[in-house]
Amino acid sequence: MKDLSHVILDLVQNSISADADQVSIEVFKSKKQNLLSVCITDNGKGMNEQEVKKSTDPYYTTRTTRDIGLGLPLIKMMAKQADGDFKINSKPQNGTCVYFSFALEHWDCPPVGDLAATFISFFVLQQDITISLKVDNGSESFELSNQEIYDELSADQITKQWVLDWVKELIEDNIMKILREG
Amino acid sequence: MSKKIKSLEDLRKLRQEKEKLTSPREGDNIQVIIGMGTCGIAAGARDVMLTLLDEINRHNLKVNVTQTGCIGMCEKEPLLDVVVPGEGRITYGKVTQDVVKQIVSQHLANGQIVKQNVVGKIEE
Ligand code: FES
Repeated sequence: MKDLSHVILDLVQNSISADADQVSIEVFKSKKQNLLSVCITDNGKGMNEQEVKKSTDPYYTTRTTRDIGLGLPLIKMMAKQADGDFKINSKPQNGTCVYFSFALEHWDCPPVGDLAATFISFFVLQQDITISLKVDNGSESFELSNQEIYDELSADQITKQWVLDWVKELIEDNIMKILREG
Repeated sequence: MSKKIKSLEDLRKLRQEKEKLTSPREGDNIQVIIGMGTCGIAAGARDVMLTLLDEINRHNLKVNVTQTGCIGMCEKEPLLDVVVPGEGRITYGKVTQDVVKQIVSQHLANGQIVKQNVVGKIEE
């Protein structure tokens, strides 16, 4: 995965495969704290202890198709390499929370990437699910959910160019700005 | 007033303007399904999807875009299926942003299959 926006896309797909209908993504970035962190919480079916272990083991595959992507072991490795942390909290029937972080100043800290593109792909493909994206830089924050935008539109307008352009601009002007200033 | 409330108001206004414009031709929708498993994402499925949306809008077509998870064909990702009502289902592989432009202008707009990228075909 090239950057965090791709990692986030992959993890939210995991949440959806786990039958979540609510997923929240939080990105925190602060130069002052030398920290970049991502936390993804869902209300999906969750995992037991053994499944959690397996999900972060890169050598675990039982079949050619994967429920849980290669994402988690990779992210764990990325976080470790950049002096960060990696945690999964999950219980059967209780959803899953994945947290990972990086030292912002570290050479191996990955770029955030195009969060607008990632959000727009959820916006178009995941209309039955509530997906919220929150960013915070320690002094300013902004939160956006796909459902609050659908409320303003009719169903056949969602994929129109003027809507996609508007969402993109909203993210550029707010979310990306906060991350640049963090 | 927070920025977001102001923006949502802008969206409402924008909608009123746009609703006066004509909408694309109706009919049975073509369906496009994009593979969004880990491999698909790593191979660039997200940006292929954004190009797909741009091109659909540029050609003023009515298309339903949905996703599927992993189907066990990593090496052929990004994968994209086109279902034209009455004509079965075509699976395309190694769909780059250039290929998706071809698929929209040839297959979706003109009914011509982009042969060199077909990896599977299911008759109806
Ligand atoms: S993740 Fe590669 S084929 Fe499914």
